[in-house]
Amino acid sequence: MGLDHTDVLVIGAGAGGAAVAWRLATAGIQVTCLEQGGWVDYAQVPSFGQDWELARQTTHHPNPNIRRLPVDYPIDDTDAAIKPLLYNAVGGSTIHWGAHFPRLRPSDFRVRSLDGVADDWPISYADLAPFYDENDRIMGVAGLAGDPGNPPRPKRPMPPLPLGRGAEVMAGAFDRLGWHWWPSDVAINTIAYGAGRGVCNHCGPCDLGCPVKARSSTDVTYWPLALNAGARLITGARVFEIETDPTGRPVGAAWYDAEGTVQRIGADVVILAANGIGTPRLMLLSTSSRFPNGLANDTGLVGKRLMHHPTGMVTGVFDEPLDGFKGPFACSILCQEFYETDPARDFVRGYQMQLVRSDGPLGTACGGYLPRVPWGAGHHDAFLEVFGRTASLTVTTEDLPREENRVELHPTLTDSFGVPAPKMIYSLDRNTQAMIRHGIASATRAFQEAGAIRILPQDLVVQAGFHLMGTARMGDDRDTAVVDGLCRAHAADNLMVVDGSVFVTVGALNPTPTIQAVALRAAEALIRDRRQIRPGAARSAA
Amino acid sequence: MITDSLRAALETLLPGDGRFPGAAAIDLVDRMSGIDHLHPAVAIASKHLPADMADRSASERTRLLQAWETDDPEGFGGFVIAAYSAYYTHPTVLAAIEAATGYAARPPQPAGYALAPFDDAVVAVPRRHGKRWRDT
Ligand SMILES: Cc1cc2nc3c(=O)[nH]c(=O)nc-3n(C[C@H](O)[C@H](O)[C@H](O)COP(=O)(O)OP(=O)(O)OC[C@H]3O[C@@H](n4cnc5c(N)ncnc54)[C@H](O)[C@@H]3O)c2cc1C
Repeated sequence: MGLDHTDVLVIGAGAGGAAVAWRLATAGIQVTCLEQGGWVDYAQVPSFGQDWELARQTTHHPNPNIRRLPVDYPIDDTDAAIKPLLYNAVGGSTIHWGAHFPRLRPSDFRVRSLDGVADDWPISYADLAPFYDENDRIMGVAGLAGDPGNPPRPKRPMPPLPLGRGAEVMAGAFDRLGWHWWPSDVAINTIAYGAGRGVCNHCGPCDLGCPVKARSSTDVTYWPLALNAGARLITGARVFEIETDPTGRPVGAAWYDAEGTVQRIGADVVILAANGIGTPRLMLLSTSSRFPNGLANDTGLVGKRLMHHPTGMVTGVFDEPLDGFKGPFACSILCQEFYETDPARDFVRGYQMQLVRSDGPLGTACGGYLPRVPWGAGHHDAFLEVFGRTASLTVTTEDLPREENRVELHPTLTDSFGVPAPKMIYSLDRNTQAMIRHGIASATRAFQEAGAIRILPQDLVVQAGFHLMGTARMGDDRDTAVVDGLCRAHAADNLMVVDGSVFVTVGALNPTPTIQAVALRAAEALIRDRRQIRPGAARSAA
Repeated sequence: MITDSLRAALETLLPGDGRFPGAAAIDLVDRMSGIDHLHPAVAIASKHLPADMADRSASERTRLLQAWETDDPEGFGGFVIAAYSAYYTHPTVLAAIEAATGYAARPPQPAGYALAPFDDAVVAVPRRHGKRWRDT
């Protein structure tokens, strides 16, 4: 079959799209994925060059508005307190991610029932557990069983990352305070795991793309397996419309190829996996007489309820070298002492503190984990005082959904093909602000206990919109949710969404394992219930 | 003229001392002009800086930059980051950092870094904590 029709069309080859494509392909379903980016060439990643930190600030910055690559689309963030971070390539934002690999807790799926705010998910931790396990197997997870902060899980196939001096110091402080901490679960190979992949050599900047292929990203995990199973992946394909029949039912997509020529493909099922910004953008772009406000947008909720994990940051400066530039930048240990709601506090829900290692010279000078090193006469002394001597705790808070936080189409700004760009509108509510204050006080307390000689807090890290969620929420009620518990749009049941957009609430930790588990569960349901797919599709299925 | 003003501004941001070269000594203006992504910040600075910046006294230059920082923290911040970006990736500066701290002036790959493997003993205390998650 040529390019004209596919059983299932997936849009976006990132975390969710790769997982769903792999699962469907292994069940014999014909899957085609359209991805606007290309494959990363690991021989060319900047961490081999002396200018690697410059690349981090420019061509490889996680904010598309700063790196401005031809495959990127602009995102108007002038009215957004937190700026968007994402990547457009095979592997999606997992090319840049830190690979922290935690699971939501059971209580995260029952926020309304337990704490009287936001909404419950229509699915539970138990529903997702087998899919988390399956995802662990494909992505590869290093970590340690026995965490008292989370439900029991089997032994991980790989041991945790080395802690490094900074984490040892902070673990000791947490122990003396009697606080929870545990080695982070990470999608990073600490021993050999997965075909064609290497073992982490602790180089540091995982976000530049891991040339060792030790840090998992879906271009080195799911995609080789999916392609092997028969999935088709078309790169350089920027989708600008999900096409529908006169009843509003999706029948395929239109996209620009790399030369700017419009191409079309028909599909029985369309699955959106373009992330929490890209997916609502596409839905809002796809209007018809049935859906004048955007595809499957009967509720008006498409694009609304944008959630991040608003992040505070506290950095401790120590009087000994901690060599925090050694080891994966984002991962070592985490503390979930303040994760669950405590009625004694002035906020509901909670936060996680994640220890991040430190930066190279340029990252240290420009700030991020700590404030920018001041310019002028004292600059070099100030630089030497902090370089290699810091550790930082993120205060990763749970955002609650509010409809005014949203993604919409920009009236004038467009991408390089003239397609309307998204605009983010986002502010923090009082609950989150109170949580960040509490978190900064807790992290400060931990650094005091650890013996830091200076403690530098930051209220809100602005360049921290790496977790994009909630913009096409899941729910049983078609009047208040865009998709159901199996990620099928209420208003068009051959349309599915399998990225962070479907999150009802977001917990206070990194979302990707949950995105992927939700995607795998949705794929399983589609395989079970093939009504949407023409009979031929089941030909080679088990 | 503009180049002289830029050079003076950069030297004010990043003066040399016994350990580190100043911005002028490594011709930071030239390095910045060779990096496309830094051009917008340089253009903003060129518009903002007075033509006679280089003729001002050191304290006046500092005052001018401080005033810019106060009036337009974003524009000024972009210029500082652009300056740091060019400075802290310059081989001479990296060599100075190596001399001062031992941090090797080489890229992270392919050598990576050695770290002692994870040792289970470190979780002895948290392992004894009771359950910390809520049933639903
Ligand atoms: C710097 C950074 C650090 C992070 N660290 C962590 C971490 O430690 N742990 C964690 O859990 N998460 C982390 N994340 C978040 C994680 O990367 C995302 O949650 C995850 O990748 C989202 O998966 P997704 O499938 O929804 O979208 P993505 O992975 O972003 O994939 C979406 C894909 O869709 C494509 N696309 C979009 N629009 C179109 C279109 N119109 N046509 C064709 N293709 C399109 C994009 O090019 C992209 O490849 C981090 C992210 C960043 C940026």
